[in-house]
Amino acid sequence: MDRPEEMQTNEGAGGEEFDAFEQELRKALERVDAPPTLRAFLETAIEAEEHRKRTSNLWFTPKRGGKLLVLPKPWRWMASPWAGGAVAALLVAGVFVTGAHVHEERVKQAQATQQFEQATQITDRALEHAREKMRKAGVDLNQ
Amino acid sequence: MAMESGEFRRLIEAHQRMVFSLALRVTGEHGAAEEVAQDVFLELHRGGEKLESEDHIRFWLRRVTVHRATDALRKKSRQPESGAEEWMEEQYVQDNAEGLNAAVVVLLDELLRTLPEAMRVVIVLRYQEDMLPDEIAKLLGQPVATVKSNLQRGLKLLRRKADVTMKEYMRG
Repeated sequence: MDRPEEMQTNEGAGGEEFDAFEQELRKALERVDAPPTLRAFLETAIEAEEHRKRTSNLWFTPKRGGKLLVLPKPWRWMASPWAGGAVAALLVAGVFVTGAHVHEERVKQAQATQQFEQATQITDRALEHAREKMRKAGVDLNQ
Repeated sequence: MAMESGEFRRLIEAHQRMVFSLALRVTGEHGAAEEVAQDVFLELHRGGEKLESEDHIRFWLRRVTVHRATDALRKKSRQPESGAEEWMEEQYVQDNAEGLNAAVVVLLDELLRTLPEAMRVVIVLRYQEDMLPDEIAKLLGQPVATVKSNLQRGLKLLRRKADVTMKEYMRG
């Protein structure tokens, strides 16, 4: 039976001897073998770490085959699960900032157009007023 | 500073069964357990120089494995699909040939997965790792009374479930 040798006890949950049920439970909960893929993964991780210390070459070929990109420490964040989210958040923020800027420009443009139209109307009225005065004074500008 | 490769390999050899089994019993899923074990050992590799003794390393591995595995369990419970059934089926086929005792063992392993997280963790630490309630309390950062209560309630629930399921099994 695979038990941690450092602490073999025969005491149950309450401190008394294990009963039959608890003995069955211990048997059911014996440690199981780790899959070989765990060891293989960790071996590759160790090799990659050793490669990173030895050389600045980013491409690393593990013993079990394939090719891996070993990112230098300052760039490790790119391999983290939240990196995609961070990039997406930056893009969204960029879209918002650009959108806000475009909106601001449009508002400014509309204001300028409105001011121009107002100024044109005022000028038209002033011209009409001057023309009216001159007509009354007997000057006909159309001649 | 990361740990020496040779020393790290020795620690993997010595503790991979413990780490993987703990993660498997808590998460109830082979794939999730392997991921947890990977993370735990990589974390050990990164911060290994701070762990002085073998006891300290074992304590650290158990604590981090339980925390990582419960995190994975919570994450999994928010997702609709899991591969647990697949693995349980496979286990059942392997052990069923040994008869009723093997069936009881598989049944208990399966029933354990139905326990609430807090009870499941203490049961695994008590009966897989043979840890005493005060050691479990220290590992989980909980009062001994809480650990004992979870142990007794978990055992009671397991006994009841096993009793009902075994009666159905015998009848069927």
